[in-house]
Amino acid sequence: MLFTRARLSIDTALREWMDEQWDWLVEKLDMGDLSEHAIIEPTEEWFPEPWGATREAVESLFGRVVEYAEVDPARLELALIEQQEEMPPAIVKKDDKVLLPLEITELRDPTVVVAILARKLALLRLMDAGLDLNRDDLPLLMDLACVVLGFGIFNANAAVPQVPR
Amino acid sequence: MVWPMYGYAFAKLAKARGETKLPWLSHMREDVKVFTKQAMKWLKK
Repeated sequence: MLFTRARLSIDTALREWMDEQWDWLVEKLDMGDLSEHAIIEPTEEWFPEPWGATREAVESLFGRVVEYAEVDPARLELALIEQQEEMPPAIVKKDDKVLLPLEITELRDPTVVVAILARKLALLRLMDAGLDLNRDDLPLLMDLACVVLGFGIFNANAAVPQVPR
Repeated sequence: MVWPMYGYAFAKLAKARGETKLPWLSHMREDVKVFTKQAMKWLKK
């Protein structure tokens, strides 16, 4: 056969879920016209500060991601923690602050740090929009929200091949 | 999400942005690039 038919590598049910949630996310995240939003890239243009596993470098990176996620930095506090036996919560609400726990073992790769922080901030944006946290599809929704918010390159590069997380 | 899901998501993003050439795709791991291009073809059909 000279030409092959266009096909997708996801099944119809998953595609329909993504189509439905995409529209919902664009609305809930108040994204409007997506062509008016930037796609964040792992370049010096977006992240000009030098990287090192230091508090200063992490705080700079954190500030960039918070800015690009359009979240008020005054609400947030980054909490660098030791590696936990169980995965720490994505975010912790404490009084009028939102803590974002980040294990220091994740600091080896700044692109992974961006992916983790973007996922946490996507969750916060969705919580602000009234997301039901008991949804079974919450982890997938957080990943999809990262794409809608322009961070998808980082999350895709940090993703696993076949097992949804 | 897994790589094929990211591919479809990026294809939807490109379509929503009216993009046919995706300069940002160069930063993506090869596997996801393949799934994205495949999904873009599917969305065009």
